Amino acid sequence: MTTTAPTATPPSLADTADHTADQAAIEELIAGVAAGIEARDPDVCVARFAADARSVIATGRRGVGRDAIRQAHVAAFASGTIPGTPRFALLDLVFVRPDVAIATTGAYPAAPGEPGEPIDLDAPPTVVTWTLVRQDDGWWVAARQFTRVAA
Amino acid sequence: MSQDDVAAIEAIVADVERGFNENDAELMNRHVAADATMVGVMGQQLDGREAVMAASVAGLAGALADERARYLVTDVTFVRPDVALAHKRAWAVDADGKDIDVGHAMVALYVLTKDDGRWWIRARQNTLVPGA
Repeated sequence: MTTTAPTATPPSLADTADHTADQAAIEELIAGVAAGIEARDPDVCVARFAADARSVIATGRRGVGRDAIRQAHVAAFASGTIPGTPRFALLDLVFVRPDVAIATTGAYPAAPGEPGEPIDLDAPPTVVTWTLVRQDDGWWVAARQFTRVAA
Repeated sequence: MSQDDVAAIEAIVADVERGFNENDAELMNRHVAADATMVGVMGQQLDGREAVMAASVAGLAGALADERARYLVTDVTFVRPDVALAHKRAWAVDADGKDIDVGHAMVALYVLTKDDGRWWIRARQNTLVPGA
């Protein structure tokens, strides 16, 4: 049994105010995560993850809490299964509240020291959704999830 | 936020499950906001309810027509009183609702907001869990 009747016209709910500064801050945060991966530094990788953040990596493994997510980075670095130089390119950014954003990025791998293939925004090898929340001290990652794009 | 909010979110996911299992795209997407963003299990990104509906109609009439699934909301977190994150696990089942081994399960993240007294799906991302 459903609890809500059909809605003929679902609303558009995005906050359409000017978020230029927020977008720049979010892109800087995501670039910081990429820098942490390139440096193989798990502390940098999770520096802006909330204490109770959620993460799902491309294998479907879920981590709950910043400590668990940090440990997943340690394990991933040890396994050698992640690219040397990940590059995240912003595909979409929606503010569902003035201080809550959903960012969709493509993730483009490159070998260490290599420039990698040109970034094709229409064909990312992996898609990553970031849910971010702005507190008094800036933006924090509340959730992040990876999905590989089928060839 | 309250247990009522958690129950409402669980009911939304139940509608998605029932819509999927009954090949009912309208029910499956009844709670999707007009400007929602979705990432499917194959990595395809869809922007807006219209695109989500079109993909659902095509999928449920085609490759997904005979597929059935069981969903479980594993946790709901409120990052604001009116913004929630929910994780869902999904397993393939047969027509009788019994689990079947298809070599993988799925984990999905929902981002929902409460507007005008009801919850809406603002984003969802599905990721396969091989071997689960």
